[in-house]
Amino acid sequence: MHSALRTAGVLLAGLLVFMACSSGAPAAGPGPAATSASCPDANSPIRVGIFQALTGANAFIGAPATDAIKMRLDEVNAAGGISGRKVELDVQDERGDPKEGANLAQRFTSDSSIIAGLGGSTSTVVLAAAPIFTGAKTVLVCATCSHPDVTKNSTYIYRTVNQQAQLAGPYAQFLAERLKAKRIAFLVAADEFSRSNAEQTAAALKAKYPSVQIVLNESVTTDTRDFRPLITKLQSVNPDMVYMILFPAEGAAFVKQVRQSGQNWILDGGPNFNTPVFLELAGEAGNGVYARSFFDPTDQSAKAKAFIAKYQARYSKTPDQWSAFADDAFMVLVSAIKSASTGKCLTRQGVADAFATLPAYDGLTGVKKYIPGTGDIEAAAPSALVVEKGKYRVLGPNEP
Amino acid sequence: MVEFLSQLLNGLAVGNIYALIALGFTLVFGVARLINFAQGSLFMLGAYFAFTAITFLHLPLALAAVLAVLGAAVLGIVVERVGVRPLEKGPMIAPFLSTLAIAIIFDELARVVWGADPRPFPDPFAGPVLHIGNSFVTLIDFVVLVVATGTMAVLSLFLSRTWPGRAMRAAAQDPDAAQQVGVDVGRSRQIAFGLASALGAIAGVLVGMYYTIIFPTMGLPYALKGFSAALLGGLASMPGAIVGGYLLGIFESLASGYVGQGLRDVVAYLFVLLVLTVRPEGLLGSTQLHALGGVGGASGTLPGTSLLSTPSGASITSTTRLKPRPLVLFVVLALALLLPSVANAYVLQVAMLAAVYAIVAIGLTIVSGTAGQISLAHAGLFGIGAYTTAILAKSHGWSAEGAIVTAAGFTALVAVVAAIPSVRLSGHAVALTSLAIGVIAYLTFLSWIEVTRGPFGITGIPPAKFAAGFSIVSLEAKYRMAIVLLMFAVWFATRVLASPVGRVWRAIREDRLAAEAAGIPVRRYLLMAHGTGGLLAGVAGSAFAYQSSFVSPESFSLNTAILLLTIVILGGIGNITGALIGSAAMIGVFEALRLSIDYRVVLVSVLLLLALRFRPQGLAGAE
Repeated sequence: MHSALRTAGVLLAGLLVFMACSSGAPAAGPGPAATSASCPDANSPIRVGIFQALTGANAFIGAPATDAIKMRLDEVNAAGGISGRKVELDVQDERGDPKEGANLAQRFTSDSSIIAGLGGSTSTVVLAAAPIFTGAKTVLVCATCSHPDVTKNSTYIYRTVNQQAQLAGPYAQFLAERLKAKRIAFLVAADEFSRSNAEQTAAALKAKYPSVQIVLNESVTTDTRDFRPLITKLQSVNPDMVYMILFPAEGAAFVKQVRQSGQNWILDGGPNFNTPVFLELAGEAGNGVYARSFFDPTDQSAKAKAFIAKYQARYSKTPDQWSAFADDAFMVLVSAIKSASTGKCLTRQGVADAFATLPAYDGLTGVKKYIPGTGDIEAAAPSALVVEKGKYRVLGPNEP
Repeated sequence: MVEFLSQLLNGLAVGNIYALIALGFTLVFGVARLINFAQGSLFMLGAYFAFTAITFLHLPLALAAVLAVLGAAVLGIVVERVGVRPLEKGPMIAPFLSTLAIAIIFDELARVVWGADPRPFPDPFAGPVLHIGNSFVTLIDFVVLVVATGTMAVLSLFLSRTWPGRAMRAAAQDPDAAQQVGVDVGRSRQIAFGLASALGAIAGVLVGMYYTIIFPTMGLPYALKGFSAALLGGLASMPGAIVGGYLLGIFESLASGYVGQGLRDVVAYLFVLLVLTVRPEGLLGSTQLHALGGVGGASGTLPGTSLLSTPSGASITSTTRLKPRPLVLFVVLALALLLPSVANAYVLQVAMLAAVYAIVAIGLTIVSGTAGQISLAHAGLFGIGAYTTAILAKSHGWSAEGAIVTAAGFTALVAVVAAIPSVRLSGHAVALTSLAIGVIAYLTFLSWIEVTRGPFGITGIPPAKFAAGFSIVSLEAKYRMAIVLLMFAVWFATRVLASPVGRVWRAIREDRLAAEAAGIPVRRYLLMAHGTGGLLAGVAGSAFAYQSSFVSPESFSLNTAILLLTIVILGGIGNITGALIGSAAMIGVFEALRLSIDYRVVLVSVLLLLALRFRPQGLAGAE
């Protein structure tokens, strides 16, 4: 009894000491100085808190995103950092778990050496972290968070991705006018992004193209691999097109089984299919599938080519849209920090204020221009792709 | 009609797969009566071993498959050596946690080695497709069918006709008696683990070829289906695994075709629960135990065995345990109220989370520890409390008192209703049915969009506003509220456990038959335990919703259920102090170990294994 008591006591005490030690950080208040060189923290690095899903089921988003940010960080530092100060990252794993998002938000905001946060691999992690960042008056930039409520009621949360509602018009137009679908079946993954896309696209179709029918609207849970019952059901409602708002693994499994069933539906993979993972998984069955793209791995523009070449050299794989999204988010934050530290001392509030006058950033995934008074950017419609011979090809404006 | 028949055929096709996976579970959980939660991970590793051999070593498929199966069998024996044998003298629930920890280590290492992205698996049987009605079958369907039935036949012969097979069954029925007549029980257990892992790997390779996609986390989803199929058919019966697999497949197909793809799993698990309510031993399970009260259920275990005793029946509760007077606990918690004056926001945030988890854990430790019903449903109950509070506070503007009390009461009610199937069962069958309940709850949060907003979650939950006239807004206040609720939970649980009701729960846990014979209405008392656990989960859910001002399904997934059970077993099952220490340790260590991103989860799992190795009855001791 006594030994057990002692063991437990020592354990608890040790834990508390550890937590207390690991959380302390030197305070660095804002100074009144006018030039950045004379600011009190002019010699210390600028620290940014990064939280992404590096393990767990969402690591496919967070891992390439973090890789891209680390690559860009080295570039920024090699070019002299921001306003003469080096940039440092505190990279943490949120495992796609909202409670880890909240813990990390407290960790970053209570560490006064951290100037802003970037991350949250999904909207739900961001939503758990956002109230804490807002309460601490610290900027949070997120790259893959399209939930309508993410930027609501806060002047500290900024995203570098569009809400689904902003893109519903172009999505609906592509389905109705370019693919000329008349009877569409929706397959929707059970996450916020896909559900939102489905709701908004369906509403836009109904408003602008009343002759287009949505014959089926089915939700698909994560890790579903057996689609035969669904294909049988689809055959009985007879669509001419299936709009698959699914992630690459579920999408590839579905596409393969559709090919086996011999049905000739037009298959459109929406915004999530544009990744080398889909091509690899679907193989031949992927040919003829349409997708929407914010980032094209075969992009020939100078900035994309440089990014792709560097990424390939460093990580020996092709970057996907997750790395491109994260790269853009990081660069937007860098530009805000730069403008907040030019001619004045860098403060957390200064970074938030910088977003009001931030110049548009032409990134890998489109132009990021903030709508005044919000944390949302102006709509940048994606281009359309089709898979041909196992590769993506960007469609011309009048194709197909 | 064509559509219906086509759906039946689709069901048979996927049922094939489930049957194949179920066979491994039947062997280890049913026949050998061992707990191996790493079975799903060995299934995944089997697929990845074959993938590596084919894609990187360029070996022919047959050779790759043989190597993968051998590799998995060896790993299975390692699992037995590392996770089970050292705990021989510990309580029967200890391997539950140790094999789970090993499973997590395997899954994480697979992600580090092969990457998080899904990989394509070669399919040598691609090509011919036979169209029948509105469905189709392919060559691989027949391959799976032949392998599944062949495996079943060979296994049945092995178990009934060979000495090692008989020894395995004897060791399962009574390890001591088997030992005395000369059966090497340890060796027999090794064979069971190796064989079950080999079966898992065979299923893994075939599933890899079938869907041509493998991923590091694939163990869990397929294992859930395999478990369900095995339970459905009768956990101790080989033909039962096959029948259960087909039935589950057909039911899922019909659910997908006529209810909705999104509700496919909900309907399937409800069906499993329904069958177990009516027929606890499963469809082809033995009814031999009916004369003994029939409560053994699908696990085939004798109803009298306590999960807290060692496999040979010795009670381990008499070992040293930490049980301070309630007053001491209250003084410690009162001191915890002072934390905001010394700690920063990050420490408070983590401590607040630990306090909320401690409340759920106290409820769970009553259900699983005191009453002996291992439950994986508590993440779901926690979620019901959180969602109830979120809806009442946000959409109806309720005061905090009203919302907390209603959430607690409603969650308790759900807990009681959901426990109806499981109180007829015992042993690990209880754990498996509660798992189904947890999954149903999670999927309901995800798909009942009108009420829960589904994957969007409920945002902007207002701060707790008490009718008494104050609001909980700041982090310090939220933290104090969590500690006060935790004090209530400790007070409530101590009172209940000290009452005659608590004594009856322990009596049922120690010897259910004797309790029944003494005239105790066992099931009613077990339902009471579930209600008590649900009440505390509801209170915790309420606190969680107010704290984070946002709830979404991810917070109440199976991972949370596993974390809760880990807290309870690590702390010492049935022990309130243990629940407190367990949640402080699990939540705290997890935050403190943020040194290595890739290996954090692995490190925590290794620590768990070590903790169990040296204190199999939990840090504070089981009670």
